[in-house]
Amino acid sequence: MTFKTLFIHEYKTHSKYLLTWCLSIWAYILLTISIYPGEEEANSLLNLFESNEIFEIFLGQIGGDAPAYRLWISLMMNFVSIAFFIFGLMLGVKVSASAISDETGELLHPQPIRRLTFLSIRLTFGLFGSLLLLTIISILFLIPFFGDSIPLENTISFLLLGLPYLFLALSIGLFLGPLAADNGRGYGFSLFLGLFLFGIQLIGNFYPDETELLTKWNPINWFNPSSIIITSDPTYENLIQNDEIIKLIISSLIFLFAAFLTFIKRDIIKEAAIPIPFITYIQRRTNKNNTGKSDKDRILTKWAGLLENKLPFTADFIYSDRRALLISTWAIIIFYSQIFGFNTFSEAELQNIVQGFGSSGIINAFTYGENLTNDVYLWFITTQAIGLHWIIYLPLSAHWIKKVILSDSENLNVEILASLPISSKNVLLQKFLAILLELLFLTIITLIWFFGGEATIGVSDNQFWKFIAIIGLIPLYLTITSLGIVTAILIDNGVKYARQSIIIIALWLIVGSLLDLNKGLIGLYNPILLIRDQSINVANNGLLWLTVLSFIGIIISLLISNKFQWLKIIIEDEQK
Amino acid sequence: MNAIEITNLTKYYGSFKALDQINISIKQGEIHGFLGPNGAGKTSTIRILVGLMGANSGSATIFNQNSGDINTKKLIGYLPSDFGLPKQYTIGQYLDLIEKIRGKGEYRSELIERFKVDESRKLNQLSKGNRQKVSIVQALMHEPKIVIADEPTSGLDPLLQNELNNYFKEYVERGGTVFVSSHILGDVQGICNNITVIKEGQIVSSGSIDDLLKSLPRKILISLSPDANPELISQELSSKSISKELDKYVIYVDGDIKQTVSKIIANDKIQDFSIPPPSLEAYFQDIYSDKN
Repeated sequence: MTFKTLFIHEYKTHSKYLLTWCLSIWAYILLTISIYPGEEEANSLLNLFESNEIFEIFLGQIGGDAPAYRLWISLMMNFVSIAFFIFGLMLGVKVSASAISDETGELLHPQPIRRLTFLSIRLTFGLFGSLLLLTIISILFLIPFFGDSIPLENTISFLLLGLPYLFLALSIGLFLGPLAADNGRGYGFSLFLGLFLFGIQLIGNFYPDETELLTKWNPINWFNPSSIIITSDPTYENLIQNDEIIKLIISSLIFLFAAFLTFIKRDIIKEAAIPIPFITYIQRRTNKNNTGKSDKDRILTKWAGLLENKLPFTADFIYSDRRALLISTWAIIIFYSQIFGFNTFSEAELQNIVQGFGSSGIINAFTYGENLTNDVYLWFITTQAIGLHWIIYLPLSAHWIKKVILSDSENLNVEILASLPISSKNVLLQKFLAILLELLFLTIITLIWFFGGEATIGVSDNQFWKFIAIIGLIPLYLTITSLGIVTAILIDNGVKYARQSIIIIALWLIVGSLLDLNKGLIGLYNPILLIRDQSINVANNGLLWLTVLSFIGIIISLLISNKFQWLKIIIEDEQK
Repeated sequence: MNAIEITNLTKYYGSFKALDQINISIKQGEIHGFLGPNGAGKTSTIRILVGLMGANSGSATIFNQNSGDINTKKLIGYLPSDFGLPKQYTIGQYLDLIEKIRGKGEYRSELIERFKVDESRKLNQLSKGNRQKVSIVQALMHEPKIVIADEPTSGLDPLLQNELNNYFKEYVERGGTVFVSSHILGDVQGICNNITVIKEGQIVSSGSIDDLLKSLPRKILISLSPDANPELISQELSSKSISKELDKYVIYVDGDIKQTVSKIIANDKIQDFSIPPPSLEAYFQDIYSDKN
């Protein structure tokens, strides 16, 4: 009875998180399938990847005599392997640390339930989540898209091998969770561990002989979905005797035992969190000491200190946005770093890639449906860097809208802010300035990384218009954010609607690109046309309109700022 | 059998000693106050008692069973000071969850009524006071053998504070035991039989409030004639100090109060005097302000 009750409780607590992860990985694979360019072009691309060193480093050995569709899916599964591992780690951390982190455990853990029971329930829930993930992916494998699918035997093997792999990640997560005693810190552990092992895997691909031992004991190498999907005759008997399966199960049990000892022996309170040695070391180096750290001292937000005296709300907004800035900066660096790889392709290879991907499905969402067959460099920088802007900035806009309207209420900071002798118009203006400065900060990082990348690969032409194309992101996202804020101020539950409209904008962009329709607000910004046509008047004078619209959005927000209620959430709650 | 028996309990957080060999005994059927300033070690002690934390040395038992054991937890109703509530539930659904874990709470409806809890409200919409009410109901509805409460009146209005104190009294009459911590003397003075005072991880004093009051220096307010020398009077009355409070002088005297009163009456420089009832307030002021 207790087991069932607590399992349902775990499900209700973590279901949103679990489903988000599952759907994200599922959507990634669906995306992979949606850009399948057809048998002929896929074969030509796969031949290209096989002969290219940079792909070999990232993807390992690709090839075999399997049909092109299976090769295509397996190609993308290399990244899924690391995503699975991080998923398992984070799920383990979340189920074991969130009750400590959000202090719900203060009421739950003193209940007459053994800690072993808690651990068992959380492990069961984690395994359920893992099975759910593998099952929905397997279903995707079995659907005959483009007339082809992954055979049932391979899919079952994928499930049978994937489960112990996730079991291991989950066990490590369950071990790390009580040590971290905090979700955020636990995720830090998980990401660091996952990326560290992925790095070892990459080095292993690069120097296979020198790193044989490391590769052998790297758990990420113990589950290779690519080879499972490609294998033409998977016999289950062989799989079960496989060394990797035994290694996965034994190491899972070891970590599970460690998790058991950790959860049983440690204080299950928030204050018992242990620091992450590596991150603490970096913090000590950057902050000169390890005491009294605040977001004011962080390297990404320190510059806001210049604003503290004259614009305290602007500085506060930026300080508290450290995590968003960190994630966005990382995303920019990861995306734009791909420019460094341009010279690893020959002209003919690039032509093949553009032919293969250029006119297919989802790629249009990055190329705005433009045919770039004749300009492979522009295709490359657009699809690998500049055209990916909405993946970074649309979530950021949604975050900003919520932050401007709700965050002070949610963290009860509003109680103090509302009593200060400052008008809501002034506060809003300062927050808009913070958003503008954050956009500027991210744009500067983008420019540095982009032009640094171009300098490395020896490209120096047309820099002014590339500069304009990147700078153009500021009015675009200032417009989206300011119009969202207007909506949020004017309408009850406006934040929800504003954030939903951002999802609509993203879908509009993707669907509009696929169907070659007008792409609306986001279509006013077209970096490809700006760079290619070297004119500010492209996309119906989009950049000028966006600049005007961003001003209009901000001015309307300020004009209606008297409708902005500091205590809106609290008042609504009291009324309920 | 004592309800709570804490012996030489020591707890470290890293190198910081939060509890230093503390000893506490609480009898069954009493309301025992656990007082001390913020950061004195109250919550650490309570968390060890309810099994959220372990001690580095020493022991803590509840009705002769080790703290943290599953059978011990069955005896406890716990009201924490800082806690989170799972935001996905309404109050009713959350209490249902607790009932599924612990069995039906026979006092649930009475507590819901007395503390004016609206079970249909979502937990993520609650103010601090309303969250505290949920915590009270979940801790008391099963009529546990002992209630361990960490600053339970925090966030409650005076009427509900009174209601909780009344409930504790009724609960003790039914055979329960209450161990309640606070940093505010007034919270526990009216309901506790005994108190323990903790400061910087060490027990400063423990016993009944009456005994503690008897051991304190008595405060006496005196009015002096214009030609009187306050310092001299203070010496004559064996007071440790004398200070002025509005138009009167305040002295503190130890020992037999009757003897001091006789001296006051015999002294013609003292025009008037009054002896307020003994209070722990001043004693706590000293503890909190580090004078003790």
